[in-house]
Amino acid sequence: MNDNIINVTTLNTVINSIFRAEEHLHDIKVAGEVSGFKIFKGHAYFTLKDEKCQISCTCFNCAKTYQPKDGESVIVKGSVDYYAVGGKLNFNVDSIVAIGQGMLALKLQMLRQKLAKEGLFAIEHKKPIPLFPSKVCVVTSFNGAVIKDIKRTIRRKNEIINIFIKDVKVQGKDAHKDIIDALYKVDKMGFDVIIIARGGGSFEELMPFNEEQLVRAIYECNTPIISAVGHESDVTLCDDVADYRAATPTAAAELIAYDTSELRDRIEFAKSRMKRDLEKQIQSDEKDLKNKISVIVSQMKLMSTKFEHKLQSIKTNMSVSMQNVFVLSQHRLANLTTKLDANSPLSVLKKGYWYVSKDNKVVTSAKQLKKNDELKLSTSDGYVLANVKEVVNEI
Amino acid sequence: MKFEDSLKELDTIVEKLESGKLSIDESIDLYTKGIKLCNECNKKLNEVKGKISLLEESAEGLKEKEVEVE
Repeated sequence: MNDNIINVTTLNTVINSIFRAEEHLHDIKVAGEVSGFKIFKGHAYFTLKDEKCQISCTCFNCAKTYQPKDGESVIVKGSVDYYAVGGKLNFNVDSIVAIGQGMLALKLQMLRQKLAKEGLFAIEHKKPIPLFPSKVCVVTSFNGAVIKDIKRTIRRKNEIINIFIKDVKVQGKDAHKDIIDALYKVDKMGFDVIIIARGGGSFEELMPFNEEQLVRAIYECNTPIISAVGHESDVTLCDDVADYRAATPTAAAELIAYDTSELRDRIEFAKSRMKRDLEKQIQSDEKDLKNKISVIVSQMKLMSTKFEHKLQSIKTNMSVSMQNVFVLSQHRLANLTTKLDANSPLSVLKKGYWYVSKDNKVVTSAKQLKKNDELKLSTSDGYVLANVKEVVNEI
Repeated sequence: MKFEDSLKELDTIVEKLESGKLSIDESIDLYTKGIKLCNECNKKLNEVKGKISLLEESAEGLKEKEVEVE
């Protein structure tokens, strides 16, 4: 036993030098599972462990390398370091490479890139999802909670959509083949839309939905397809290739289930709007017509008043003329009467002349008479009958 | 006519009627057409009750079988 007494610093410095000198602890690769992964000020701190043991790891400037998730199996490259000040052992990580799920994710990423390059995810290829589907096919497991959620969500808003279920395996080695076979058959059945649905699951459980064959089968379908696989954070290749990606099966159901009562209201609203517009037009046309009629009526009244005035004036003129004619005629009559009076035989008779007739014939000559002829002598106020005493033919 | 198309046409009719640029004859024609469309849509909405069917494998291909889902 060495009797020398040393202090902690000396001890830790010795330990440090031993670790530094050991080549087997430098630039080595260690495989293990990551736990407690966190990043602080750009450096990553985590524990690497296997079934029995664990070691603390630090990765300075971790942005330069792959950043694993907890539970992920990785291979870290670096060196064992003894931190003398803290007296702690640590593994300084230079780089991290994923294995296991990490490798799967890498493979998936490569497949995604390859298919994207081929144009399988191109927006131009995506078919529109009908707004009012009447026949919907759900490709899922009939026994899961998914179909119940989908049915409940659809029926909450819509009681007329027909739901067809194609029962398929949604996990396991051959699940993708089952789904491909189902898609091949239902694509020919004239559905308005197909929903491929599965509830949440682990990365491995969702792997059938990342199978290249399935992705290509979806791409070839003629029916619009909604992919509703897993939870919002799980994006599978099936989601990428589908015409629409719903975050969850419930979200897919929500998307296709149009609200029937809202639609009824919309139709009623359209009806009342059409009625209102038509009535408005009729009223406005009626008003127009009334206006026109009143214009016509007032013009006619105006014309009639003018006509009346004219008629009145004609009447007045005529009456004046008639009066004039009457007065003139009276004058003329008076003149004529005077003239007539002046030339009347009666006026001669009044002067002492007598009118002599025989047998109602006027006697203008003595030669017309003979002795004893009966004569009628008329004057202005009467007549006398007389007999001729003697006829003298000269005066 | 598909439901979607009927509704689109109905919207167009309502817009045209609302524009007030039509003659009364045209308006009445459109109104009649619109009401007919409304009735057709209502018929589709009210007369049909959606079913839930399971598509089962058979020798002749997939066959529909009505099922209950909770």
